[in-house]
Amino acid sequence: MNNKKTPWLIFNLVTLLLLTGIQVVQAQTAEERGKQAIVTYMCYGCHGFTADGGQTDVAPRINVDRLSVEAMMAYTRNPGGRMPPYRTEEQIPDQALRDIYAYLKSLPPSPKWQDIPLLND
Amino acid sequence: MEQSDNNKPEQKKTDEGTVDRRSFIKAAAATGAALATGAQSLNAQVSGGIAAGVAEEVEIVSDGKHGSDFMMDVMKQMDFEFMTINTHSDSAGLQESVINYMGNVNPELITGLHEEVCVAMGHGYFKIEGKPLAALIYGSVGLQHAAMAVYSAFCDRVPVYILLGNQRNNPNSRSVQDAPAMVRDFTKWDDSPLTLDHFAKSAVRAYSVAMTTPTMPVVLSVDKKLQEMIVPKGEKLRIPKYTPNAPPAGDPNAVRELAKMLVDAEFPVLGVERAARSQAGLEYIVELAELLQAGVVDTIQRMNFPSRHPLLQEPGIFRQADLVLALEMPMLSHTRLKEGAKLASISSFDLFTRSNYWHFGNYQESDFSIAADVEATLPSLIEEVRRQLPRSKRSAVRVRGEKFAEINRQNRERDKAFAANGWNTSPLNTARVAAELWEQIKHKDWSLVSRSDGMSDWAWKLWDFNKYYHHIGQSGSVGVGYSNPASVGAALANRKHGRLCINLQNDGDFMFLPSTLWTAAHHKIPMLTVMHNNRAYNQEIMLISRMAALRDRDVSRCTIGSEINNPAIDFAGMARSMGWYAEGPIEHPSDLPGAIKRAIAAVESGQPALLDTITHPN
Ligand SMILES: Cc1ncc(C[n+]2csc(CCOP(=O)(O)OP(=O)(O)O)c2C)c(N)n1
Ligand SMILES: [Mg+2]
Repeated sequence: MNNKKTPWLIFNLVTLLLLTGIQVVQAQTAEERGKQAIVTYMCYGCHGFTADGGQTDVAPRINVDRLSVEAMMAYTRNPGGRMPPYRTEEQIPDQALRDIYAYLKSLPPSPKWQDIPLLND
Repeated sequence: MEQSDNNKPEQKKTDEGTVDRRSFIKAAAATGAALATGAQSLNAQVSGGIAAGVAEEVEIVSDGKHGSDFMMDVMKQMDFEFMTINTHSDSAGLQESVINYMGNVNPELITGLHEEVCVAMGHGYFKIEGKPLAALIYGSVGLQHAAMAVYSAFCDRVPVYILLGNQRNNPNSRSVQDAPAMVRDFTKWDDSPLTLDHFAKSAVRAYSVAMTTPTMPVVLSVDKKLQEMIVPKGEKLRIPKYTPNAPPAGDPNAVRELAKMLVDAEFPVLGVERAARSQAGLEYIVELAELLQAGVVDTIQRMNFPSRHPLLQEPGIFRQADLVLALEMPMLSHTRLKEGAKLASISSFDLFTRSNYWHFGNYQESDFSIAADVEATLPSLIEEVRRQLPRSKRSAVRVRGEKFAEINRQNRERDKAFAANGWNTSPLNTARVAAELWEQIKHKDWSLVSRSDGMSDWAWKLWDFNKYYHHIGQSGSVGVGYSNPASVGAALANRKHGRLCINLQNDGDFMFLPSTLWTAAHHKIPMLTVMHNNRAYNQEIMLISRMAALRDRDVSRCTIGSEINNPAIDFAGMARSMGWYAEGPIEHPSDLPGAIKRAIAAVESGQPALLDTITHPN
């Protein structure tokens, strides 16, 4: 093997890997990133993995049907009640909040309790 | 043997909701001592020259008796069904006496692989059985392991009869000068007898003290030499007579005055905490609430009030009340009431407490207070309220009852709407786990042998709790590690009744004493443990994330120190390794019904079973 060509080969390989890597990152949808962000930024601890609400008196469901993305972002930065404030971009980037919103929007709606036999015994 | 607990004394109902007065008073008086102290069972069991009613003093002439055999003679009259033990040399005499002198019957030895298991099992056992079991543990190192369980029982007003093996004539790393000192801050009484006669008196006193309201753990340090001595032939030994104490009932004048306050109130609410200690207590509370059509707020430290009763309210209702009667709820404060509202209390708290650990919270500034046992006082209070309630008030009483019922209906519907959120998600919605379980146990005779405040209270919100043994209440101290062994103790008490025992088990609590699994399997204690496996100390994760957010710092790192993941624990594998039937991890709701069915079948065949359900955090 030609020794002179080796660095080029490595350079090309690395570039290829980086590009495919970037592509993989880009291939992740906002919904997929949002699902991950709920865990990364610890939202799940109180709200649950699908933000359906934790303990009824601790954290409510994040109802994206009623809440705009702007309202959700504004509330996260400056919340009321017991919700901890995520004031800075370092604590949670705007993009992550948008992704979380997209993820929650993509989830199928929960059934109504009246339609669940187990809740009507 | 007659069950002292869980059986309401006969009451002659003359018509719906009313009770014939004379038979009522008679029944109430009759229940007083027996239900409070487990005395019925004690008296019924004592034989050999001991009259029914109270145990008579018995004289024994030694034929070269072993000291520990005599100790068992004394303890026989206490009718301990079980003695939990973690074996140790300083109690070899006693252990051998239980095995061979007693034939391992009353008490039967239950092997705990950690002393905290031995005591916490006693905690759970009492809350079903209404009488204590004995725990025989090493006075030095063993008691150090057991300490938190002793504290939980103390906070929860639960008697556990703790025997400590100790050796006082041979100082070494496992002998101790004053063994009970370590837990004296959170026990009611202790002694370290020097002679067999002294042991006999103290053993009976310890039982009496433990079982008198407020009931609490007691400790007897039992010297190795005393256990192993031979009582010379012909020497006389006495077993002292035991007379159960009737519980302290409220002063009649005070009860009359309190009844007047209740009758005069516009919107009375009862706060109940450790109010009921038997089925009778639960029924008295229902009777008082229904008579007054008063709301009831329950902290569920005991099974005080049915979970689906329309008068059951949430704590916010305190703000609407003009009178709150706190029943064995010594920490309810005026600050939770509206201005000008009155706070009355019946509580045994001031009758005995300890000062070092601040389990008592802030001083309760009540406007009217009766120091007494609630269950013993309720019959006369009900009677007085019935006597004083004028006909003219009946419609107002009915109207407020309807108001409470409507609030209750709205609360229940709101809960069901919450439950439906994320119904089909994976990991599992905890409401779904509770509802799927309920579907398969609701037609059986069941008992929730764990706390109900895990899994976001879903069992309490969705199941129909209406019998005293349906639930053992919470832990008392909120010390993590209580629930797993306490559930096995409660299941042990339920076993002879054939009740299907359900334990909703947090992962963090579980891992403090996983050896509890072995004890349940070894002693064939059937129960179904359903994991609330969120792979974390999640309560703490919530607090730490909040702390980071408030400090404008990195929230994403806040699982450090609080996750129980990487590696994820294989609870099913662990359970199987100790003789349990187990399935899991279960992450999809569609897998739940089949798994529950198979696990219940295993339990009904006599084997403990565990389902490792992976859940949302709360
Ligand atoms: C003996 C003891 N140690 C530590 C704590 C602090 N503590 C409170 S809640 C908690 C987490 C319990 O975890 P788990 O039982 O899994 O319930 P989860 O919070 O996950 O619902 C801890 C460690 C405690 N209460 N008791
Ligand atoms: Mg947990």
